[in-house]
Amino acid sequence: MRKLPPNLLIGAVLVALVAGTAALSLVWTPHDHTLLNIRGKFAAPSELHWLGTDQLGRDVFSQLMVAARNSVAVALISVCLGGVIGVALGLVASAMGGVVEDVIMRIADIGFAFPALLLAIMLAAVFGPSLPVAIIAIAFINIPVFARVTRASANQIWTREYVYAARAAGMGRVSISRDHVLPNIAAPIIVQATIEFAIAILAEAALSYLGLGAQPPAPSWGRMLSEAQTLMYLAPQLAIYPGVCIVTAVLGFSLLGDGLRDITDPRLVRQR
Amino acid sequence: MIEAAALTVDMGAGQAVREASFVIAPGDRIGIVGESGCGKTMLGLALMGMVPDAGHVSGSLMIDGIQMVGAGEVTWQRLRARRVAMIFQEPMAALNPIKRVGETVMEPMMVHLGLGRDAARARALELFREVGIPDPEARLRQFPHEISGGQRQRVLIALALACDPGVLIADEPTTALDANVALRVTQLLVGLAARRTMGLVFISHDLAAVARATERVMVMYGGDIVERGATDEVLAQPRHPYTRGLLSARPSSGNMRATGGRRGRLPTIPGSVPPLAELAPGCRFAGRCPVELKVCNGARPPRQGNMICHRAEEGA
Amino acid sequence: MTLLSVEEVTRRYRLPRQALWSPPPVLTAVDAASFTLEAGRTLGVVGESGSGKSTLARMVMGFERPDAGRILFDGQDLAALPPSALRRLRPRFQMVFQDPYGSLDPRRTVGWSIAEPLRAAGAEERGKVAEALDHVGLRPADAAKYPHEFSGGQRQRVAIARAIVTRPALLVADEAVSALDMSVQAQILNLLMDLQDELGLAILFISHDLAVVSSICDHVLVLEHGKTVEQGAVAQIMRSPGTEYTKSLLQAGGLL
Repeated sequence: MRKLPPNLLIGAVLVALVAGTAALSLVWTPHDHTLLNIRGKFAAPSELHWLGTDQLGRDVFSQLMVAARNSVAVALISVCLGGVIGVALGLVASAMGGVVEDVIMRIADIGFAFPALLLAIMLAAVFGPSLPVAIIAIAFINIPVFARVTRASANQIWTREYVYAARAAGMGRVSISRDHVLPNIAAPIIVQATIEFAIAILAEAALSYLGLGAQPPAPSWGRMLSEAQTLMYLAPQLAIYPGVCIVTAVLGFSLLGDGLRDITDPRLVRQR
Repeated sequence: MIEAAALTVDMGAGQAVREASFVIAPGDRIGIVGESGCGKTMLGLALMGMVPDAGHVSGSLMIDGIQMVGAGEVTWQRLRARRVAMIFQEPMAALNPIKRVGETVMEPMMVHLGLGRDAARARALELFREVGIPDPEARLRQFPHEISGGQRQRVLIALALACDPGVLIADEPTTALDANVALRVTQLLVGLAARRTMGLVFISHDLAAVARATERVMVMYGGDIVERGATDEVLAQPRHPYTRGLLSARPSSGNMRATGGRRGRLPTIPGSVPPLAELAPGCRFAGRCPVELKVCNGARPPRQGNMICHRAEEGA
Repeated sequence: MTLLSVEEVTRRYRLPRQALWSPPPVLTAVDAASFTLEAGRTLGVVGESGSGKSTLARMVMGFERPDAGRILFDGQDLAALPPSALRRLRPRFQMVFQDPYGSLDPRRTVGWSIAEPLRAAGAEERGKVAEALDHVGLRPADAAKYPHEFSGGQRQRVAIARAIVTRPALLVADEAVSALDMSVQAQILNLLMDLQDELGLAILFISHDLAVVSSICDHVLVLEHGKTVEQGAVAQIMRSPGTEYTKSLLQAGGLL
């Protein structure tokens, strides 16, 4: 058994921490995260409120837990949505080749160059700011990323002799894409998805910070950060807590992605 | 000058090389033949101190009078490229695709020999001429994918020669090349060995290539050197059953044997080389040998003259 | 009976432009090649790398279309067939590739790979995989193993089992033994000859090695830079090579 790289282990632990917290918040939080208590605002950490309370007296720890759930859900849905569409487009581009491939990839290039923030602002202007808008915006920027990774990996597989052998056997493009190409490019796609997950969490935080994502009273790390900003001198801890959460989640998924790449990329393995 | 005595490489699962003893003097050209998985490459790597981590080397290996068994990586680094150098089967895989081939060849000279850029460049040019690369000035600036397989192998030979090694180990240097190109690369290696009085270890499964390249040959099976001798003699009058099998299995119209009215078939060695862990404890060739005796599977065959075989005394 | 007939086939590739305003240079990979292959016989195609022999193989397999000329399999022009008809014809002509490590999907059991041509043809699978494995000297139980569990020679046997599972009339072998040890080459060549005798296969045997070709082929075609420089019975060409190129191939193979 090969020794697992440390970044994989640390990443996995951090991701497990964030995901576990998000899952736990579904069934249990220390307090109702929406419960106001004006008299008990800015409370210091205590046995009752582990991380104290905010400017409205809400329990900070409970809010962070529920926000973790929102962040993970947004990232999961948007990356899956973008991933499925992107991978499908990449597979089609690679299988068809020629003009179809060129058209798909040029469109992907345009999508790649389009800033997510601009898209989110446009969508928010039309539909009003909400979590679904954030999800769609993040999913949209993921499509070209996955399409590119998929096409590049798939094109390599299409030149393998076992694909020629399958063609010689009389297999069509659809079955070859399904039976040979997709299983053999799964590793780079999973690695990409993990890294995209980290980016999505950051993007959700940024959009919510700007008021384009989660709307009150739904807690979000990004919104907690923006609310705490005006209170920076009064209660700096309110900004630090969500900041630490964002860093933990992003770092965790990034390390996990790097680690997965290290163990799945045979070129890197050989160099070590 | 390389002197190996009872050199053994144990991979844990089994011995990839078992008690190999031989001497390579300046200007010697020695072939190592055998099927894949017989320990040829592992023996070559052992001479470079590059056995994989899982392997344990024992016995004795003297290179220019220094005992290298148990030597550390630092000691090996001082010897590699300058005393022993190696070239590999896949010339494309062995060259960095994003570096101009000139840079690749100049690098070890600047690192090991302390030459400046201009001196290293001049020397690289000289080496390219020596290995017969046409238009060497232009080649220096090219990338690996811009030149043909044969030229790439010549670049690698130039790279291996950069620090004037006493011995060059060539692991299947012609296997990936077209027959005509392979012939010329073989001739080049022979010429270089003679001109530089450099030892040449030519590892190949191709008996014709070994016949052209070497004056002595060692036939390996299952980690044992089962037969050795002057190349001409061994190939003309093979004594060990394995050597005979290898020779007669060469695909060629002259080797066809017709049986029972059908058109001819090639004689073969039945089965295939077993994995290390499954090698027979006695004679490694037991189980595939056409002239096997009862004793073969139990006891290790004695070394008799130039071969290791239970049947040696009968002149087989 | 003529099974495969290649008539004046030419294939050109456009190379990348070397300067912005000059037209892209054109490489003629195969230049007006013609030959016929009778059912049950073996034709060798010999040449160095870059001689166009693999391009020829890919055209015969219908992977690429010739720019000029016709390839008739069983009297049908491959390039003129619609894709669906070409696929229906697939079970009749199969291919074995050079690299036994690359021609099998590493993530599939060999049984799955061997059955692929049957699935593509919508044919009944049961028993045929085991039968094909038996034909190539492997055990039916091997069907459950993965390619990495086999040696190079055994993998090539698996590749051959897949190629014969639909009982084709033509087998295209592109450098099918070049990546193997000599002793294993002999085993695989014998296997091909056995299969040919049992199943009546015609083999288009592509190789850079004239020695190998001489052991299995009746007739041979010598290609140099896409051009056919010599064509005829193997024994005849080995006895008196007609061109310097053929002579050099013989010499390089240690045959002269």
